[in-house]
Amino acid sequence: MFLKEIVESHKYLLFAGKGGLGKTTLSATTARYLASRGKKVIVFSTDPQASLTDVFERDLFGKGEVELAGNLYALEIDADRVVSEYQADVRKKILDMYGSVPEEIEDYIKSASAQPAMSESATFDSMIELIMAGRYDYYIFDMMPHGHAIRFLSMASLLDTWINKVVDIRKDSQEVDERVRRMSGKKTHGTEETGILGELQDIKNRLDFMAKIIGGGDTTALFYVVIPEQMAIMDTETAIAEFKKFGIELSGIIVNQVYPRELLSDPDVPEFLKSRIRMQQSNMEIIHRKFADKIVAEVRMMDREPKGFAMLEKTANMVYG
Amino acid sequence: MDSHKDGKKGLASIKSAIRDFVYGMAAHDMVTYSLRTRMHMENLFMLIVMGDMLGIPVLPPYYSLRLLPHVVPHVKTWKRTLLRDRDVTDRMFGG
Amino acid sequence: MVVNAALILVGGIIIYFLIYYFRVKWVDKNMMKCDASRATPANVYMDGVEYFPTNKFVLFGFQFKSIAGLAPVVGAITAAVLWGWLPALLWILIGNVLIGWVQDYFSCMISVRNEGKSFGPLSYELIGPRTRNILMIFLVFYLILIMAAFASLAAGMLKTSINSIFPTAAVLLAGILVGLVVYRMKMNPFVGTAAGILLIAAGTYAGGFLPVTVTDVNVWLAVLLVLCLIAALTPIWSFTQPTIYMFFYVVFFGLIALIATLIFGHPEYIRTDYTSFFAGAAVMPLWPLLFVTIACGSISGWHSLVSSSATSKQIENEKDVAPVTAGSMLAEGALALVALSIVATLSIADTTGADGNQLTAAGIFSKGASALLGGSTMASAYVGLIFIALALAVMMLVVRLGRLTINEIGGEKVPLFKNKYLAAVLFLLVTFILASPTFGGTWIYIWVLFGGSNQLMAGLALMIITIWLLETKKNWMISGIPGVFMIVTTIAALGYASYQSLTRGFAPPISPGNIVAGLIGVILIIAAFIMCIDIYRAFGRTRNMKIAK
Repeated sequence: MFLKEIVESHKYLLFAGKGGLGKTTLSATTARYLASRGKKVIVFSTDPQASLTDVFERDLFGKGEVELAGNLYALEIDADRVVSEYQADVRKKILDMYGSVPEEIEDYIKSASAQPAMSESATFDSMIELIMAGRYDYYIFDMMPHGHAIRFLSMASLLDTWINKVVDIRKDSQEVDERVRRMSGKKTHGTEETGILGELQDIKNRLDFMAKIIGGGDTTALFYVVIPEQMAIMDTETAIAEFKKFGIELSGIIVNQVYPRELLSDPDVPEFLKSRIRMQQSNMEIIHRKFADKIVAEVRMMDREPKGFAMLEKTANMVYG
Repeated sequence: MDSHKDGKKGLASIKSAIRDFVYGMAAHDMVTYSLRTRMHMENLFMLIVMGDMLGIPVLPPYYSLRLLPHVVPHVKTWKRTLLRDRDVTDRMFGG
Repeated sequence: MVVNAALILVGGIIIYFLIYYFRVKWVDKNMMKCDASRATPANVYMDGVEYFPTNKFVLFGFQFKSIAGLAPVVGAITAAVLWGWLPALLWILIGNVLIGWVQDYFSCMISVRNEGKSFGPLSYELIGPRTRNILMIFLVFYLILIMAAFASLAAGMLKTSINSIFPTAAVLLAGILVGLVVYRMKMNPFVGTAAGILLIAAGTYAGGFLPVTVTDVNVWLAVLLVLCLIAALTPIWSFTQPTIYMFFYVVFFGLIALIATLIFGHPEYIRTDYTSFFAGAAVMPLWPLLFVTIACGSISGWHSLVSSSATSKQIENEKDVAPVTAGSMLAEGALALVALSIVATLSIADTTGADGNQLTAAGIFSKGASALLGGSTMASAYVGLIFIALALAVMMLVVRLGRLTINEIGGEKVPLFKNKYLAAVLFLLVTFILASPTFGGTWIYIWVLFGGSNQLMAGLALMIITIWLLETKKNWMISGIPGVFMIVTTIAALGYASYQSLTRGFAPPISPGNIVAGLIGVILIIAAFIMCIDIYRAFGRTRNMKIAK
């Protein structure tokens, strides 16, 4: 299968890989290509380091879903702002329910919000939100480096276990309450049931939904971006193994930033560059040996960083012909 | 059963005292035991949803925060119960 | 000396009442400055599950049931057989008046004044970390020994009281029935209770006609221990609790009937009042052994754990501490007097078995109580049932607690001990070795060792109280003197019992039961000495602190 066919036949397209390998550009390029085919497409960056704003040369940060051209949308969330809004929401809810926020609860809200995992979760949640709304034909996600991505993906199955456990505990508690009431006429007062169970159920539904999309296969394609450098190859190998642990198979590997081989026979190319190309060539052999059946595209090194609409059209033509 | 019967006088108060006494002998141990079991369930529940508060993250804090408004009144008791020194001599009547 | 049972019972109760109204109330008011307006832990830490204010009558019933079981009955009977009824009577009265209620009352009050803390944490705080471990050692052997002593008696009862087999089966069935009715069918507990009581009545009636004879004690021991194993491993509410709940009715009605016949039938104490200082075939010196033979009824360390484990966390008002704890203890003294009356109304000849030896406490209870209740086979069926119910109620809870203790203290060092099946089986295995005639253990020494572990807990509790009183500048002598007396007496008793057990154990034919018992005694003595060092240091430390202030 080639990249083009896979991309066209999957609703959710995930681009993962180490930072700085061109994931964002590839995401944007793919979005551009699909939009040009008359599909409604959104590209969403979940990597705090990547910037769709740079690639599209337009301020997208924290602006919500922005229409860039007919059918082409981009979303770059301001995770910190999402977190602080969320934090304010929680506080307001407590205020509404109890009239005041106890000091230790206040402290907890503050310290929880300061954790790095918080903005990750907020991003993940926005991702779920976006998909659940279901307004687009294609969703393209520029994923964060694989460590984080894996944690993201594993969160769903982990939470599922805990939530089931909590539901069990609640059931047992109800049985004990019933027993006590029968023996003594006493009413026990634990935490209120319905509110918490409702929330937990909602969280579970979201995560289940996400887990299905990620692990589902039929509608989702996960691409891993690699460049012909040793470090990137090693990273890709571990990533594949780790994704596999969670039952996620890569749909394909895209080799990016490949220098054209022809340059080697060009007398004008300096020796320095030639030796670099030769190194890439030997790494390419390694890549082919290791990931042969997974490679779906090889993308040539650009003469400059692709930016702006016109440039994206050029890369789209190059990648998707 | 353990409601106050201060208002009652004479025979009625003796009767309720005897009833309480017999209940105390017959069934209060069962009730105490069940309530302690209930306590441990509640603690486990709180630990899973709010463990982050004690530095034992189970649920991601993002989701703990969502549940927080529902458990606010129980946080204080829960922390105290969990941090209390407890050994076999506490577990004689359950848990 | 021939006295009337009614006189002893009524006289004893009057003495206890006087002590309560003058001594206990005085201490409560003047020494502890009991204040109805001071918030108790049940109110301050109210969580509705562990801490919650409970009506004092309910708590009195709860405390009384938790401390009064088979132990005061067996202790009183055993002591009366050995030294005559008079020393037993005096120790039940004086021990309770001077020591018993003091321990129960203060252990609850101190817990109430210390956030409802239990005696484990309190021993840690007031004496030291090592002392808590020592307390655990006492506790684990207390549990093993009480299990062995009761299992042996109950198995003997099942063997001899051939009419009691049907009613015993009936009460177990009734327990399961109540459990099903309340928790599975979700019906009113009264329906289940009524059906259960009918079932027990029918079983007792049938037992009167249908004796079951199995003469091998090991078979009965195995039956009892398997029952305990089931109790330890099933959810407590499904079998253990409803069964104990039904046992309660058996004992409650039986006890009312016994007290009524003792007062209205007023039989005479015809037994020898005093035998000799060195009593019985086992040559038991009155000091120190009387003071460990009768524990519950006079003073029992177990009560300090009860008072501080659950009761102190439910005290609604400080004013309730005295009636609930001291009240229960004095009431238990009265229960011991009932048991004493059962044996004292039989002559020595009456209690001599076919082999010329004195009957066991079980045999004497069966004989004396059934005589009081009319002497029919049905009466004997019911009396046997009372005894077995009292024994099993304790055993079923003890095995669970024993398992838990092994899990907790053993599991810290050896993870294998964390396994609940292994812990329960291990616990019951030791019990079997101690209790089975096959291994040749001597019951009276096991009983003394059990009393010893219990009284070491009492000594420790009294010294914890003493240190607390010293720290808060109160008259610490009230518990200090009894504490020292109990520790010294108990170590002497343990020394005697271990020596005797070990000599008998290694004398051919070697009896593993005696050897295990003797070794347990040695461990207890070593632990007791370590405890003494720690208490001595803690006492000095606290006094220096006081002077420094």
